[in-house]
Amino acid sequence: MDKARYRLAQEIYFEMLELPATQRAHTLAQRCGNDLALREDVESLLELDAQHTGHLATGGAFSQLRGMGDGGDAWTGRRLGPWSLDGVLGRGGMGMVFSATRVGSTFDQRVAVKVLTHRVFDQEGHDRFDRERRMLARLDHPRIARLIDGGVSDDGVPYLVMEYVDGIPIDQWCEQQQLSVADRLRLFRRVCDAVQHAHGRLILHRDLKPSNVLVTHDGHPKLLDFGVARALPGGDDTEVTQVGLAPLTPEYAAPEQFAGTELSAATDVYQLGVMLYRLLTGVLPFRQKEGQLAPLLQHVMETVPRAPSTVVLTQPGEPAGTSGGSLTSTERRELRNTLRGDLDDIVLMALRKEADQRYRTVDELAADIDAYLTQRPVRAHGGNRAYRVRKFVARHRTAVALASLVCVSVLVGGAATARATWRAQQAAAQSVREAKKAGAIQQFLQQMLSSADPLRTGGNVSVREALDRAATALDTAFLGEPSIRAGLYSTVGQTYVSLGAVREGDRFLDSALVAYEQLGESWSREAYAAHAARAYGHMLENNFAELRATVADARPGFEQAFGARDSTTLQLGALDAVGAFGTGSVREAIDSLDMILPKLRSTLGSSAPNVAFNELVLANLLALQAERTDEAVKLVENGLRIVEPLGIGNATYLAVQGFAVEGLARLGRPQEAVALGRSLVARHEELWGEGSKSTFGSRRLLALALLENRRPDTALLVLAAVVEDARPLLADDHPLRIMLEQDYATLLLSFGRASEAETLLRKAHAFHAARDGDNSPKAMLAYQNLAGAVQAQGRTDEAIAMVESVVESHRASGRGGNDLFFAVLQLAELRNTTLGDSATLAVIDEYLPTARERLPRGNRALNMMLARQGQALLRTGRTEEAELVLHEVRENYLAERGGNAQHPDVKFATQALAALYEQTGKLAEAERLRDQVP
Amino acid sequence: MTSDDLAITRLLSNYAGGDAAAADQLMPLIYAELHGIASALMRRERSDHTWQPTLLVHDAFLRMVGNNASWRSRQHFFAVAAHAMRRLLVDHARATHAQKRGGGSERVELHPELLASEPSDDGSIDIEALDLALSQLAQLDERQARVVELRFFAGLDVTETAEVLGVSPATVKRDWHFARRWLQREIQRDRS
Repeated sequence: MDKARYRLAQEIYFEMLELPATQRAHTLAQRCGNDLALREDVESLLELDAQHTGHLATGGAFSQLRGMGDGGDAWTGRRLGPWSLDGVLGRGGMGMVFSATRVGSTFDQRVAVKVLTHRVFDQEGHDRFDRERRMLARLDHPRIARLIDGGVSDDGVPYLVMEYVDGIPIDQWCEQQQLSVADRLRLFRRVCDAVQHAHGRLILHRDLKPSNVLVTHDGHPKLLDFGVARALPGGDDTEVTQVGLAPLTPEYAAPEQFAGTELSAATDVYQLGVMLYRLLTGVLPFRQKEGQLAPLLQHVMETVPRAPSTVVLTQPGEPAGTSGGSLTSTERRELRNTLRGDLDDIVLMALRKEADQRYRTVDELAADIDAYLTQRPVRAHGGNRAYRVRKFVARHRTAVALASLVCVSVLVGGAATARATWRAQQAAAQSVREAKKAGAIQQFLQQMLSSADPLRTGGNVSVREALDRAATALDTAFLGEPSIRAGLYSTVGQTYVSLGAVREGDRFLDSALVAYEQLGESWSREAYAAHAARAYGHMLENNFAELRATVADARPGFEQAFGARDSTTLQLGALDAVGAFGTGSVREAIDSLDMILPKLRSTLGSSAPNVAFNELVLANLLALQAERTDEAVKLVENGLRIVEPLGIGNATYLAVQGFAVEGLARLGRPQEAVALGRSLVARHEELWGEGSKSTFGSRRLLALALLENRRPDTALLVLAAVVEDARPLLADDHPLRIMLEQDYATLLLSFGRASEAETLLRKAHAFHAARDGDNSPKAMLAYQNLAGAVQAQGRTDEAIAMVESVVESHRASGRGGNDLFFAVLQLAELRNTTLGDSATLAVIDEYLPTARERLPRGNRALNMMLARQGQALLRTGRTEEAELVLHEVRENYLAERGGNAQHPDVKFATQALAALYEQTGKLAEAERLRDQVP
Repeated sequence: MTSDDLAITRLLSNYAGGDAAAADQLMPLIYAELHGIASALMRRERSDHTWQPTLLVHDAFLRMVGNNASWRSRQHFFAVAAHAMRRLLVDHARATHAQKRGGGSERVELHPELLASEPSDDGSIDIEALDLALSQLAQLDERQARVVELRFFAGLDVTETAEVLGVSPATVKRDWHFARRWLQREIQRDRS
């Protein structure tokens, strides 16, 4: 046997595994031809496989796992990522839909999981699927079922996790509710809004039909499967013949989908036209008869549909305003009269063969419906009836012929639709009507989407590509309309930031702000969005000083324009608190959030993601100070619950989870923190790729959680890997890199690797001193760490001088919080090494009164000072004083940690006191305390 | 840190830096360490002790490289250690084979997936037959042989194996699946 033969055997082997056992013999004989040895080779391996997997009849685990398009039993009960599949909701051309819940979640999150059983990915397909999935996760509209998650199973089958919607298809709803023509139009109009929203984000639906538009029991429409077509392989292939691979429903497909030419916003317009036709007349413009696709295809390509008003007289069906199709002839005539004229024109205009003859955007279609409803003249006009398709057909003859061949073979049986019951999980938010200006901005972006060179991209471009193109086109677009230009700059900038391209984004946001200023709209809500996006970008870059500067520029203006209680002002305030946190001003951040949060809750509602985000920030601050810890735990739990439904593609979701890891680690629940940290790292790696920049933050948090969970060696491994990964990706003085290196250095120190630590800490200190100032909290902290590294190498005097200068600087600046007292503690420790316990006592005695005055009773710095004092008193023989002090520490912690004897702080105090009793011979007391801390 | 430890660290970083010869120098060092640990185990434990090669490898890693290693060094260590472990097991099997009557019957506990598939009469695996088949496999598909070595002798999981070899986990899974079937068949044929 040689290499080539081995490879061939392997290829055939896997091919066979995918087939049902009954088809194998035949196919195997075909593939191997006369080569009996090869056939025998593969057969023996297959046999072995069957023995070991115990599936002789079905033929191997591989094909079993893929569901095989039967009842889906093979999938039910299976897990995909964190989702456990529990029942079949329906099946369609692309695969099966299951109802599922999140495993191990504390509350019931029901979702719909679409398993694309007909596809198995290679690496390239996998990467592309991931990219598209990330983009789709950005669709956020109350009328669009959210994409929550997605991935590829172990055996290569892709799946998508969507919001679970409980409703019925829009056509059935209209019949059931016996809606009038006007009500049907109003409902349809809301569907248009949702489609338009997606188009503004450069995403086409491409498979719009009633079964993808469900109406919930309270009458809200909700679109399913948005952009799913695009996320699939074949979804944007360049070859015309690939058209059959993209999922489409023949009766709703636009001519260009069959022809395989460029798709654009007009494709969705066509499909909306078919849906409207169906809602108004009860029938479809063209029907597929007995599963035969070719005649339908010909009609779609060549026949002008009959005007809606002309079909209601003769066609059976459930036209508007009827119950079950039993219309009297009078009613039919009334309906005909309603439809005749404008509505005929609107529907036929949407259904034109050539994309550029239709409404160019969904907005235009919606505007005509609005015009009809308000009895204004519509844009579509009688020209429809004169419209001819001859030219179109002549031009597309070849494509039509080719498409017929492909479609017939691929699509037969593929049009079955999922008739599932879905449930709306989220409270329906109010749909926001786009302002006229926003419409122009969206149109411009849509143009970028639809003007793709079809020869190169097959009609679709990635968001990033379209953005780059928009950025270039912006130079010359809307020159006479500065307000639209400002909006465009802002939209493009925000999109860049949300894609993680902060520098590009900042450039456009800056231009937007200049433009708003020139318009005299510096303090408009549009301008606020640009400011907030800039601040958010700085946060992503870990550049908190810049964040604060950005907020400081903006806040007074908005406060003046909208008032102090407006959401703009409040959110800027909260962003500033995040910046204060990031720059080390913890006390300031807590005070400011304590003030802002209640107002923010009453303005935005207590379950708004933005509220959750700020609650988590506060929880972390409290955890850091070890104050109000019970409240902090509640904030974490509540925040996690609020963001859970947002899904992994959502920035707030990721940020809140990250904060939760840090918070739980410090709030005495390190095991939960480690578990959450691990899953967060896995999510980030899945989203952005292993080792990528976007995973650094979550890996750092995991290390922190590990450290709190007393696993410093593992934490060190994690941090070492992050620091190594960061080296080629981040500039030497990138703030994020500095932070990672500083954490790593601090940990190195505890492993005795002081000289390595010193190098990194010197760099960190120099960075913070240069950026934030010599006396900034960040620079001070780095300097204190550095002192630790210096001392560890035996240079105690040098270290003492360093920490003295830190204490002095804190005192001089009037910052009397944790920072000062932790520095004091370090100083006490350093003096102890040269001068003994009396020196420790001297330092603590000097600062304790101030600490008692300024710090709350449960504060860790205060109690550590007390505990240290107690220890020194004990060692110098002043046992009675020592006992009093250590007793106080324990009482403080017990009172402030909810009486929980097992809280790490309380345990620490209990053990210290027990040790004192042992040394002073009060053994019974000692034993009583030891019993409390097993 | 002893000079040996330093040598290991230096060799690993050379290897990571693309110096293939470093692997050849690492081999005997790791082999010696594995051998030392295994002998100590056998002296201490009862004669029917169960070997767990993957634990041995991890133990050797901690002793030779320790916690200070970077993630990359760890990968490179296991890449070499898997091969060293294989050699050690084969040598050991040959030795006990030669003095079967006298010695105890140490059981070797290998990757359960392979063990469950093809246990011989006494429940252990025929290391020599596996070694032979694996060498044949390396002629036909070198990467697949490496996948088996890493998973089997160093106990790496799919993700870790994929990282060491610089391929996707899906590829490792496919390789592992097919190579296992192929090896099982070859060993079976060999026996009959």
